[in-house]
Order: sequence, then structure tokens, then C-alpha cells
Amino acid sequence: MLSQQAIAQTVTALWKSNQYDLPEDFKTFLQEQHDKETSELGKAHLKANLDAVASASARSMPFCADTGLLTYYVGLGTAVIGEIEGGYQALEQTLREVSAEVTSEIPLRPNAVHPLTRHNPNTNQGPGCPDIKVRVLPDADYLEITNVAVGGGPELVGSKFTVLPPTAGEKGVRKFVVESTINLVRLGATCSPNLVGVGLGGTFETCTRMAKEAAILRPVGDRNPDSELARLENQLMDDILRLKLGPMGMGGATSAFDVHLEMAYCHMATLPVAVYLQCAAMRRTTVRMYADGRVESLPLSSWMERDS
Amino acid sequence: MKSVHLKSPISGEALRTLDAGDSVTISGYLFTCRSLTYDRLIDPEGGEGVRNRLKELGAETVFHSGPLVKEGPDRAEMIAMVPMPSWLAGREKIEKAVGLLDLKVIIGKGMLEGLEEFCKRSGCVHLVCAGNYNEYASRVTRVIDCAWPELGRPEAMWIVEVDALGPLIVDADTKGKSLYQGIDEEFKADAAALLDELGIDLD
Repeated sequence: MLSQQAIAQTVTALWKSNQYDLPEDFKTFLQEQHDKETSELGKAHLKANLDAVASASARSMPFCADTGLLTYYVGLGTAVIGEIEGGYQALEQTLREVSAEVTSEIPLRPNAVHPLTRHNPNTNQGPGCPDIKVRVLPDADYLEITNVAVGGGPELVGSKFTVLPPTAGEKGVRKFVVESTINLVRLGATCSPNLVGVGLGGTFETCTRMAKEAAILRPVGDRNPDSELARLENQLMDDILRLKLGPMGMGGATSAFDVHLEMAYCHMATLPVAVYLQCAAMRRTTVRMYADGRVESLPLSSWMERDS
Repeated sequence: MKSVHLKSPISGEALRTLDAGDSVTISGYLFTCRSLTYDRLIDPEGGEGVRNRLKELGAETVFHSGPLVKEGPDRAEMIAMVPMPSWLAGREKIEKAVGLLDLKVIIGKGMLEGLEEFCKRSGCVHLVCAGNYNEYASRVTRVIDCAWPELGRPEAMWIVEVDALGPLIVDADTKGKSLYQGIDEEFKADAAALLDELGIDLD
């Protein structure tokens, strides 16, 4: 049996590691780029990031003041659903309660406000907050939880959606992605370098969801298994690096962590494209819990693993 | 590029030696401000009490930030304090507050178009952060006060004392120059071929 108390303890610990340190792929990238960045200002920005993470980890404190909107990607193994104390409803309740508890315990910045009145309950709780996404994992004997803190930069200005004419083709997609990146990074509008997620095709919400998940759930250096889509990822990365926008838009070789693209078929009258620019403050952590009480930390979420 | 330490009270002369691109650290009193906080601060009557308090302290710096603060039983502790984009606050509000409080330093993130002209006219500077996130909170030696807590902890105004807060980078200096403007000219030249290939017109 997976008790709600055990789940709450595990998720609380997960939020701490989520906020105190960067994922390994991001940290390694920043260090490597810092060592080879030739722009003086670019190097200074990367050094400030690395110093801040080292200092925050040592003090057990969040490394960025924007501790994000709290998001859960939950993988429910079919073989473990019956083992969850109180069932799924109790699990969701636990995830909501933990969000408020860690907000005061860690502490996290209370970011969730009413869109019109701007009322802030100071708990990171409200309609839609925390954001909980669920996927059923056939035959899996574990509950997998990925915590992601999504900052205001990517959510506020770092995202764009459009529907291009159906025959705009690859060049139209490149134009939209490059133009969006310029508008979002130039003059320091958002915190670059970014991990650029691109959603290609799908319906309105599938397109934007793919862009966001490609940016936040796939590791630096990952390529789409479809070789044509992988080629387009490389093309877009080359395009963005040619802009030399650099860290904080101040110029340099480090303009992006990577470009990740996800594709879904779309309506024949459309060519939807979405872009999501994840900032350098990536907070992504994953854990698996088994019915026998075992807890396993994972470097990556399995959320993006393809079914076929 | 040179490194400069500014200590309150900051003289006009010290500000005039700064050039866009210089690295700056700063000591003295500052207050955090976001868009809703500015509305309160510049309100002719509602903001008067807080404005008087800031003047008494000699606060000369506004920091565009929604910090992460831990409130203890005796005192509040600054956990993380990173700048937010200055354009989120809005230029009119910033200019009004600078005028009302005779501020010398504006700290934020990114370029705010037209602010370089204002800095030239009023003799103040716009500094931007190093990095996306940074160690600035560790430079806060004391949390003095919190105004308008009903706005929510991040949107409230936090008045703090800092020692060698930095490194910060001069964006707009007192001579009408903006670091980002110079960088943008280089960007347009470097990216011209790709922009042309993809048919992108910059505004």
C-alpha cells in the first residue's frame, strides 16, 4: 500500500531538490558554455548563474526568486492504482496540500494570483494551481511524479502560438521560430539562454502543450527519434545560434541550450506552430514510488516516451 | 569596462563617471517595486507615508523585483532577490517615482525603450542584473520594513539595506547611452543574412 503520508514526504523532498539545484544536463551545459564563451558579458552572466546555484545548493535555498507555478506530471501505473491509499482523489488532494506546505516551509514565492483582482492567497493554491497532469501507464507497477516549477518568464512572454497558411512549409516554420526567439530574447526581454520547445501541428491545445513539454521534459542534447524532425531541430538550432543573441540578450555564442520539436498531425486547412522558451532556471525532478515502499529518483521523466 | 562601487549617499559626480557596460556594486538602502507597488507609491495621498519613510532613510535605489522572503517570528530574511524586466513596471510610473523621491539608481532587467533619454535628463542610471538568477539576496544585510503586504508577499514593497550588492551592469548611463542599444546594432548586422533569407523584418 502507498500511504498518502509517504507520498507527501516524498513529494516534499522532491520540491526541495527541485528548487535548490539545477538538473545535471542544465548545469553541465552552463559550465561548458561558460568555459568557452568568448563574449565578456556573456561569460559574466553564465558565471553569475553558476555561482548562484552553487551558493543556493550549499545553503539549501531556492536559487531563483521566481520559484514558479507548481506543476506535476503524474504517471499512474495501472498495476499500482489499486495500491494508492484513498485512490486517485486522495493523491490529488495530497499534491495540492503539499504545494501549500512547501510554499511556507522551503519557502517558495507565492506566485499564484487571481487574474483580475490580483488577490494572492500566499499559498500557491487556487483554481488550476497547482497544475496536475495525469497519464495512465499500462502495466507499470509504480507511481511516477515529476515536479516542474514554471517561471513567469517562459509563461509570461516566452511563448507564442500561430497558425500559418497550410503550405507555409519548413521555411515558414523556421521564420516563425526565429522571429519569436528574436522578439523574446532581444534587448533582454526574457532570461536567455533558453531551451526552445517547438510544437508542430496538432489542435490548438495539443500544439502549445507539445511545445511546452518539449522544452521542459526533454534533456539537453536529446533528438526527436524521427530523423526528419531531428534534422529540423538541428536546422532551428543552427538558425538561433547564428543570431548570436547570447546570455540575457547581451551577445555571445550561448543563445540556446537546445531546440526540441514535437509533431502531431493537424487539420488539412492549417499549419499550427507553437514556441515555448524555457529559461535557464530549469526546475525538473522525478521520482518513482512502488507499492512495497521503494522510492527511486530518476534523472528524467518518462512522460515524453513515445507509445509506438 | 570598469568596476565601480556606489555607496549611499550617491553623488551626481559618481553617477556621471559611469559608462554603459560598466560593472557596479552598490551599498545603502533600497526598496523593491513592481507594477502594482508603483501605483501605490506614486499615489499623491496614499503613497505619501511610504515616500516620507524612504526619504528619511535616504533610499536612493529602486529594485524591480518580487523577492522571495522568509518571514520569521522576529525578523524577515531575504532568500532570493532577482530583478524583473523594467518594462513590466512601465516607464511613466518609474519616471514619476524617480522624480518624487529623487532616486539615483534604477535596477531591473532588459532594456526599456526611452529610459536612456530619461536617465540623461534626470541624471540617474539604469542597472541590469548579471545572470538570470544571482546571489544578490546574500548581500542584503537587513530587512527594514514591508509596505503594502496586502498586495501579496512578492508584490509588496520590501525596504532593505544592502552591502556591495552586485555585480550589476550599467545599461543606461547619464549621457544618454544604452548598452542594449549598442548591442542591438551589432545584432542587426550579424543577423542580417539570416533575416533576409527568412524574410524577417525587424521593427
